[in-house]
This record gives sequence, C-alpha cells and structure tokens, in this order.
Amino acid sequence: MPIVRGGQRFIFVGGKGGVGKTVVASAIALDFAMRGEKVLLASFNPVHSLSTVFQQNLSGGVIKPVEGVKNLYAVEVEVEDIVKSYKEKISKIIREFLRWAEIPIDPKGFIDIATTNPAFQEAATFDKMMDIVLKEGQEYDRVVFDTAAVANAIRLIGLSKIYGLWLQRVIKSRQEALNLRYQLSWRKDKVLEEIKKDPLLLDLLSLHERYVKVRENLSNPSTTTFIFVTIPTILAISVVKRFSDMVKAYDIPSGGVVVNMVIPRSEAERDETGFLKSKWEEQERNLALIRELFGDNILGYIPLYPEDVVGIKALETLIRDLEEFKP
Amino acid sequence: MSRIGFKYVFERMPELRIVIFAGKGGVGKTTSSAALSYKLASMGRRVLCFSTDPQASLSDIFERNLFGKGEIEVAPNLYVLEIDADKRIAEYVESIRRKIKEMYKIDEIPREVEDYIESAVAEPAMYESAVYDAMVDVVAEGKYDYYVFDMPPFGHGIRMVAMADILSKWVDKIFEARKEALELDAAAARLKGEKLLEYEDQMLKELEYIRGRIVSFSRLITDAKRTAFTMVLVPERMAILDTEKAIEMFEELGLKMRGVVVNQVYPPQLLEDPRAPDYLKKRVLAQRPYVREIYEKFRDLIVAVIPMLNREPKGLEAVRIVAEELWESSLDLGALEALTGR
Repeated sequence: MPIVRGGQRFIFVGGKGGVGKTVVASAIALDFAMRGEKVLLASFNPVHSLSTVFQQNLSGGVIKPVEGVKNLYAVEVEVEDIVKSYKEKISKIIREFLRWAEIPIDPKGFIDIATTNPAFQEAATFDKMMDIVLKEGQEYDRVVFDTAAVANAIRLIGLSKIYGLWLQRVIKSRQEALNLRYQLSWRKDKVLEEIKKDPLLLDLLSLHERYVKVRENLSNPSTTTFIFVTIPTILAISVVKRFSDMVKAYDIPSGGVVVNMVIPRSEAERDETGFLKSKWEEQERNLALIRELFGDNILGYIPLYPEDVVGIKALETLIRDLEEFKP
Repeated sequence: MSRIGFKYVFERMPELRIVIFAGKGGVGKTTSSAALSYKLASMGRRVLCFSTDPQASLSDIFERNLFGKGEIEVAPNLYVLEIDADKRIAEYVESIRRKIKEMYKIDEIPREVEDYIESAVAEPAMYESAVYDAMVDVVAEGKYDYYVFDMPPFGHGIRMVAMADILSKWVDKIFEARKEALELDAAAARLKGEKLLEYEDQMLKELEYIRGRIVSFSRLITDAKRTAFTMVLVPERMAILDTEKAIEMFEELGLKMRGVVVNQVYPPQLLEDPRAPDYLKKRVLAQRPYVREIYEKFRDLIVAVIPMLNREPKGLEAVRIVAEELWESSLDLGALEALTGR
C-alpha cells in the first residue's frame, strides 16, 4: 500500500519545525515514484535539506531529476530569487500602466508602495506555488510540497480567498474608471480600442483567473490533500491538531497523520540509564493522546533511528518501517 | 578554558534586564526561560517569566494551570505570565469591528467585509503580532527587575525587527499618498459645500498606531545594553542551520546576538556506562558531529551548555537542575572541545 492512499495530485506535508517533514515528504515522493508515478517534490523551506536527504545537489531553484530514482524530480525553491523577479515583474506592470494611461508621474513611489508592502514576500512565494499548481505541476502525477510551516500551506488557501476578494474590488473600480472615461469621451470608438489594451485590467483579470483556478484545485478534496507529521511530544501534537482543524475549516479532509521518531519499546526496555526509559514513558502517554485525537487517520509510525535519515537506501528502510513498525 | 553560564553574562552586562530565548520548536526555550527565571528569583529579584505557548508548557513545567490566567507567583518572586494570544486577537478584531461600525455608522458589518476580517484572523502574522504586543506591554509597565521571554518559534521575532523598518517606510509612503488625496478630497468637498468624512483620518491613525507598536517591539529586542537575545539550540542539523540563519539575519540588520545556549548534550560518561544499550550509545555518537559543528561555528557565542537529562524537565526540582546548569554550566567550553575529539 502506498503511504498516501488517496488519488490526489497535490500533497502538502506539514507539521511543527523539526518533526521531520522533509524526510517524510521525501519518503512519500520516493514511494510514489517507485510505484511508477511521475513525481515532483518541491521544497519551500527557508533552509533547504532535500540535497542532504537525497545526497545530491538539488539546489538552484530549478526542477532537477533525482539521480538513482526513475520518475522522481525535485526542486528547492529559492524564495529570495522569487521575490526579486516578482519585484521586477510588478515594477514593469506599474510602468507600463502609467505609460498607457498617460499619467506623467514618477512611477518610483508606486513601485515602492507595492513592493515594500510587508506581505510582499508571502505574495511572491504564493505566486510561485500557484505557478507550480497551475503549470509545472500539471505534468506530474503527484506534486509533494514540503513547506516550512503548515500554516503557510493552509494560509495559501486563505490568501487565495482574500486576494480574490480584493482583486474583485480592484477590477470593479478599474472597470468603473474605464467606463467613466468611455462615457466622457468624444471619440468613443478610439477609447474602446484603447480600453481593450489596458494593461492593468488585463493583468488583474488574468490574476483573478489564476486565483480562481488555484482555489478550485486546492480546496477540492479529490485534487489536494494535507499530510501532517508529528512526533510523540505534546507540542508537536498540538500543532498538528490545530492545523488539521484549520484544514477542516476549509472543507479539505486531512490525508492522515504520520508519527515520526518513535523510540522502539525493545530499546527502551534494554536501557538502565534512564535516558531512554523516561522518554519512552512520556512517549507512551503521548502516543495514547495521538491515537485518541487522530485514530483511524494515523498512516503509520516511524522509529527513531540512531542516525539521521540520509540517502535513498535510508528512505527505503523508512518506507518499509512506516508500513510495518508498531510502537 | 573559561567557565560559561548566565552568571558571566550578567557580570559582563550590568544593565541587563531582559533575556529572550528564541530558537526552533522543541529545543528547550521554555525550559530555559523557566530555569533562568527561577534562578534570578531565588537570588531575591522580582522576575517575570513570559510565555505564549498555546499548549501552556510553562504550566507543564511548573505543574500548574497558568494559561490565560494573568501574572501568577509560582515561587517566591517568580511570576509567570502565559498569555492567551487567541483571546487577544479576538479582542483586537472585536475592536476593529466596532471601529468599522462607528466609522460607517452601520449596525451590521457586510458579509463581504466580514470575509476579509475572518481571513485576516486566520493569518499567522496576526498571532505573531498579538504576542509581540503583549511583550511590549509588560515591559512598558515596568513592574519587575527582570523579564525573561520565551519567544514563540516563528521567525524568532527577527522578521518583526526587519518589518519595523519596512513598515515604517511603507506607512510613510501611504501617508504621503493619503495626504495628497485628502487635500484633493478637501478641495472637492469645499466645492460641493460638503464636510470631509473623518474615517480616512481614522485609518491613518490606526496605521500609525500599528507602526508605533512594531517600532517599540523592535527597540525592545535590539537594545544591546538591556536585552540579551539568546538562541537555544540542540546538536541537530536543522537547529544548527536555523541558528546560523538567525545570526545571518541579525547581522544583516546590523545587530548582534548575545549568545547561544546548547541544550541536550549527552553526558560523555554515557559511552562508558555498561547500563546503556548500544542503541543509546549510537545516538550519543551520532550527536558528536553536531556538537563539533556547534563548537566550530558558534564557539564565541556559547553562553551555556545544558546536558541531556535522564528525566523530563518537569516540576521545580528539575527546573532547579537546569537552572544551575544555565547559571554555571558543568560542561564548559573545554569539555565541549574534548567532545569534539581534538
């Protein structure tokens, strides 16, 4: 059985920092690829570790085939680069618009307002995720997103809603302005021709279309699923609980919970120093809580390995353990 | 090799009043905050230990329900404040709703606007701001000798410092644009013999208020004399990368981090302990390269080392053990260097 059982194309892997999201996302992607599906693994972390996990250079912000695994592709998205090119894109639109509208104002002020906006980085990252959902991702059977915080992934849906609302407003007022211009003009045919070329309106409309499409994709339970990773600690569990509730609020069924870093009972029993045993006892209580909260939604358990999970061999072991290991 | 511990930090920084523990989730920020607060209080100073954990882990540590209950004295001179950020957000949002209703003289907020408000509440940035707001508030009150902050694990607050700068510039720009527009509106209103609506002004005031709060927060955590911004990390890859990134971000802003606390270092004797199974010994050994990396990368920044405990850091007894290690670490830099195998 594959780790993720549904047929969704977009799989977001989230959880608290340090619970092993990247490793689990890598395992999910590898699992699908080994079953013959074409998979893209996209990391949106501020500090990437796909290269470390797969023991090869996957950096540079472009999609690269993962060597040694057929059908698996990966990209470590460089947020800073995206912000830069997004800035250029926005500046270009503003300049073009002012020129088109024959407004003799220095565009710098407008560009500054638009690009120093505190939410600019989020908007740029969001734009990149949209690109992957709507363009690159369409060429793959599965796209696995490894995101810095679950919040970001969920926020994505929230953002697409708020931006959508905002855009509708802007488009409406833009149409009103153009309409006014048309009404006031002597040469209506000429104005109409020009209006059709309004770069701002065209851009707003295409952006709005993108938002609508992204929302359609992300809030559709048959195309998108969220997998949560937790470890048996109260803090990590509470984060997953909070985020799975958030996802539910958007009517997206959670694809399940993976429990990582579980100290094997046999090892704890062998320990007489107290270092493992006390942790294991705490773990037992927390595992009970996980079962109570997520029950049938638990996809499997991964043991706490003495060493870091690095390399494809280690990932294969992990995939096997995920199916067989019982705490 | 010199001894390390917060004792020496306080000796070097006579004006130190605020200690901030930041770092990624699960590295022991809350435990460190509780322990340092406990130590300072035991020396007879009035201390506020502040945490925002939605899961109330100070409550776990002090084995008492403190969440959302205000400032509570858990030991002589030691006060704990575990704020309920969600409640603060709800209150803030309610005040926004009230303002909107007053401004537009309406009884019911339109569905469309309500959608905006709801989406905004779901924003993690909202939670972040509520937390920082509360931090600024308690320090401004000035009731304590020392403040120890358990920083929530998002962006370490550094993002907020950078934001203070960006937001200030942004608000300035908006002000400029708004002022021009207001002048035009005023002229138009005069022509039509109307009075200018006041709500535009209200919005500028709101923006100005938000900027003021963020700038105060930024001052608080960047005050080099009174505040020690400390990162807690454990010998694991992601924690090291996270710390490096934070230091880099600090430098970009022209700031200096006061130090790092290395937590959960396995005691070296464990390797010779016949009671320890191989699995545990392997884990001890697997930690070594990261201890080495920490030592090499952050040597000058290490202010304390806390050994891995063979019990959960819960209850006052455990807090006392961690407190002693934080104050004067038993594993000093020399011991750490020995662990790196040279």
